Amino acid sequence: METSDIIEAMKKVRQTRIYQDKPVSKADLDTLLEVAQWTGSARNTQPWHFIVVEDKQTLGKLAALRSNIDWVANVPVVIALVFDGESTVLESFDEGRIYERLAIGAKLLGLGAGTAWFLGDEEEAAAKQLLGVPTERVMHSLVAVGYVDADANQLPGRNYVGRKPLDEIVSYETM
Amino acid sequence: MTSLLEEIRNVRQSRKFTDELVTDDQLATLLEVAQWTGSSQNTQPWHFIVIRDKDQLRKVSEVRGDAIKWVATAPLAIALVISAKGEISGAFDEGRVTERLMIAARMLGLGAGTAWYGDDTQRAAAKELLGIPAELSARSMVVIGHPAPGAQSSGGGRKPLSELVSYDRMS
Repeated sequence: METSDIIEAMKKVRQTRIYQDKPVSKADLDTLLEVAQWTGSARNTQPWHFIVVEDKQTLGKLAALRSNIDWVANVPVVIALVFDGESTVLESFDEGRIYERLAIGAKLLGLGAGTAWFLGDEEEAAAKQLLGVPTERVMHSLVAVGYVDADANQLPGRNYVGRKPLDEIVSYETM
Repeated sequence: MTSLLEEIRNVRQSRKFTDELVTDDQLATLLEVAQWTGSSQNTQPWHFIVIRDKDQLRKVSEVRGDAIKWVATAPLAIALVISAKGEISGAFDEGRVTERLMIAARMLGLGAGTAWYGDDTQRAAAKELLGIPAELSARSMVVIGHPAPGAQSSGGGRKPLSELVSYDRMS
């Protein structure tokens, strides 16, 4: 793959919610876990833990916690992102870094990825209980991975609007 | 692991750069990659300030004592201004943009590092220097250039996957 192809692929990384009924290979999953493992963090604290969930029943229960993430019931595998709970800002930043590495990594492996969030303390507590996560830890989101169902509408009920033009979002030297 | 994924795995923080400039084409590519970052409900809650003026880079490198002085060695920094409603989603999106820029920099043969302004006072100083309205959040920038020898911290390795990963349940 040429550099320009990689960059084009990076620009085409999109949230995937609907996947084919086809498992992710163990080799691809291990590769993605290694990519996540090597994410940078402040002072290399690596304040994270990953839970791989493939069990359909568990996925169904997680999906049922919030109507907006009902699509999680039909994904082949999710990686739940668990944090130590020491710093909201730093850990949420790291969470974004991990997600983006996984989303780009998935794309380059011919897969898709999507982020699914629990909102509020109650949903989070229920999700943590389902996955045996200690209450003092933090778990905001899951990363779904699988083969994209190219025929499905990935954004039901949403008006996809692309991105703002660069001249609107970029300043030079000062804002 | 495929070589491309190996490239992503090997993205490391760079903190020292040579004098070689980042070209306009490379900058344009980096900005496009940042522009296409995903965000909650596609709100795109960001603004990017491109800093290439050496004097401006030096000034912003001095807002936090010696901690981010290395920023002055770089030919380019992209300061991230975030206007998300929630603290968590704002920091998450900032992390996403940062990681994309760091990965794209590596793919272009460059290196990148994240530099944080520091505490409230230091952040305020950086915002004033960069003309960022007080009500917007600005914590960090992605600093980009050609890594100098020894620029990339060895990073101290990472915890083994066996320690980091659980299957089905954590405990």
